[in-house]
Amino acid sequence: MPESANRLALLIGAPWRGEAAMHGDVQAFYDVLTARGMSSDDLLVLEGRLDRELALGFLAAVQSRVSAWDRGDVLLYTSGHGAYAPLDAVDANTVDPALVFGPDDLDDPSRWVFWHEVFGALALPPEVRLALLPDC
Amino acid sequence: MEALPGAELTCRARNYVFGWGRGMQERGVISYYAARALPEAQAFEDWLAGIAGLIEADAHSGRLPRTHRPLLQVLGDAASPVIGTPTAE
Repeated sequence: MPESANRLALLIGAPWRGEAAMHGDVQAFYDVLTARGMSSDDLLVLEGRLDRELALGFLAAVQSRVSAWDRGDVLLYTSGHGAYAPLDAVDANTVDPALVFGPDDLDDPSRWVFWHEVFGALALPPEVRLALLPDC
Repeated sequence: MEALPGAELTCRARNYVFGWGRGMQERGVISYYAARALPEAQAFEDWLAGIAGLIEADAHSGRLPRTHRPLLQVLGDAASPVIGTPTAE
């Protein structure tokens, strides 16, 4: 299937205190996607000290933009940290993975953004393809 | 990567310092190779093959420790086109 005219790349960099790698990661993807012909309007970046509210707000804004698309392509790239619940899980197939925005949040899953919440917040129309590259 | 004190349950794909001299920069290993392989990729299977090739070359030459080699796979339709237009090789 050829690529659609509707396209959007979402670049999320979520460093913890003192970490610089995520900024370089997001910048590299921004540069490469620009070289691939993506305009600044097609590239949405969320980077810095994030929290659950900021992340879900960003995804809600994306959802409002793509909700009317009959087809299209979305790339979601993240560079950051993750964890999973339940914390004592022994079966990788049953865990609920999440993004975690700071070490102080680790013991409080209510401050995480679970991946199922990411997909729910995006609520992409059926014919819009999502490509996900998580580096976390 | 080694967990920070009190953060043993977190996961973070490995980081590594790439480059030399003033160009040295810490990057996520997956991100570093994914960004380098992305320009020419037509489909996700091409992208993955490019990433694997770059990692293999750097591991072979000693630029990337073998302990930092990620194992990646495409889940879904690997023949789907990657967003954007490939640049000329």
